[in-house]
Amino acid sequence: MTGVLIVVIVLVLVFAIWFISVSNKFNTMKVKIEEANAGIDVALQKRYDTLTKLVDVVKGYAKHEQETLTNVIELRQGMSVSEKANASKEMDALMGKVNVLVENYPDLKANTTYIELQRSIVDCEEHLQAARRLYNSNVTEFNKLLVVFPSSVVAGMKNLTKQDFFEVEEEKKQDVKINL
Amino acid sequence: MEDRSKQIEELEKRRKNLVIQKTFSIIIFTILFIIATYYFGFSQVFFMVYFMAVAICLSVGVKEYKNDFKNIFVKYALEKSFNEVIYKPEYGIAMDEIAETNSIYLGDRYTSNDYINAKLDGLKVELSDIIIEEQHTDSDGHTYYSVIYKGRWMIFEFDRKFVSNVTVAEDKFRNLKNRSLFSKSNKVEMESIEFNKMFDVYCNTEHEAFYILTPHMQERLKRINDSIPGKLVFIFFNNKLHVGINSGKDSFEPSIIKKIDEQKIMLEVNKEVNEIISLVKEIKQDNSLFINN
Repeated sequence: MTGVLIVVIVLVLVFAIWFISVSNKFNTMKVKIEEANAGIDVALQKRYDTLTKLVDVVKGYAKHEQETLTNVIELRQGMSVSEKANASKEMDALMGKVNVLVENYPDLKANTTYIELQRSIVDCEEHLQAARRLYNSNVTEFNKLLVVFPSSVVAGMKNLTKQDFFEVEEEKKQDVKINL
Repeated sequence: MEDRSKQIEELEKRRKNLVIQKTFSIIIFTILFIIATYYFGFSQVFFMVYFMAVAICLSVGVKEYKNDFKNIFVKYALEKSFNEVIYKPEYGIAMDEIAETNSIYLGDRYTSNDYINAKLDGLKVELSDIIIEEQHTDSDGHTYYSVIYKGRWMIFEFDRKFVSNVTVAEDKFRNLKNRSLFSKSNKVEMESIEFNKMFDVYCNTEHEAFYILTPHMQERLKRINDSIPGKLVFIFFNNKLHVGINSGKDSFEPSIIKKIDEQKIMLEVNKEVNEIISLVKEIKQDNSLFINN
């Protein structure tokens, strides 16, 4: 009887240790996803600020095109991943418009502030790409662990759900290619 | 061109003389050793003297010959492919330059030779062969050295500065410094399973690793790894990229026994130079890496 009790206690202990370690793994991964998400926020905000400055410079040259370049992109605290992805797509679209417009103003292309801002935009874009890839990589790991047995049991007990990817349409990504 | 042929002819004459001198000297030392052993019996002192005499005799004049050989063949091949070439066979990359990355274990003895500083399509590269040795003491108290790194070390200089140190080491590259950067917590998993199998990535900030190692860059590193024999390490540090190739090879080293065959030698030298060029070109493809934004 005592032997059976010891076996049961050992089994319960093993299960508890395993449960805690898997649970901690999920928690760590969630923190990493949140960190990566914050990285996206920073990169998006920086891109938004630079883009706003760039649009202002372009508006100074292309006064008749003020309406075309109306900035309706909204960035706010607590946006979901898909909202952020949409904001990014809108920025791509705006950048596309700027690139088309600039073709009609050769003086603007030679403007040093404009050139500097274009370079900053490229850098912001690269940082956003890195933040997006890091976020998606962490989400892939999290979602994989979520569906694979036996960790899926812990995920079920903790009511964890799949995390959304930060998705960017391939054709939109083409628009942000800037030739300096 | 005529000058070069004359130089090669003279070098071949020197090589022949060196071989003859050394052969005769060794024969004479051996005869002396045999005579001494015959009259006085075998003595460890005789053997040591004989051994040292042979060693000195083998090394005299070889260094100068090798330097001249390298200046005629290696420098010539480098100048054909690179711009602004500085080639110093006796010098190498300073240990401090590698030490400042704080990534590589530099053992107890460091030697370097075949220093090259050149430009290819505007990209500045500095390289040399390096040997890192570790000191050991056996049970009898004798110290000896074992080689832990032997191969090429290259340093590319960029316009832009990397925010934090990113080290990409091929699986089983054993010369990483044992410090906190290379702990499990600083190991970064990239999104490519194939890349992760091939390399271990270490960085303080994951974002920086993803920023530098774009999918294109990962592909490039994989291609370099596939085409170059040896264990590789890439260190992005400050405004430089260090590339270490632990191949166990000391490049551009001629043998004095082999007859100078210009065509054959140029083929061998060009093969090594082309290896450097292909690596430089692969790195150079990632323009955004060395343009300051």
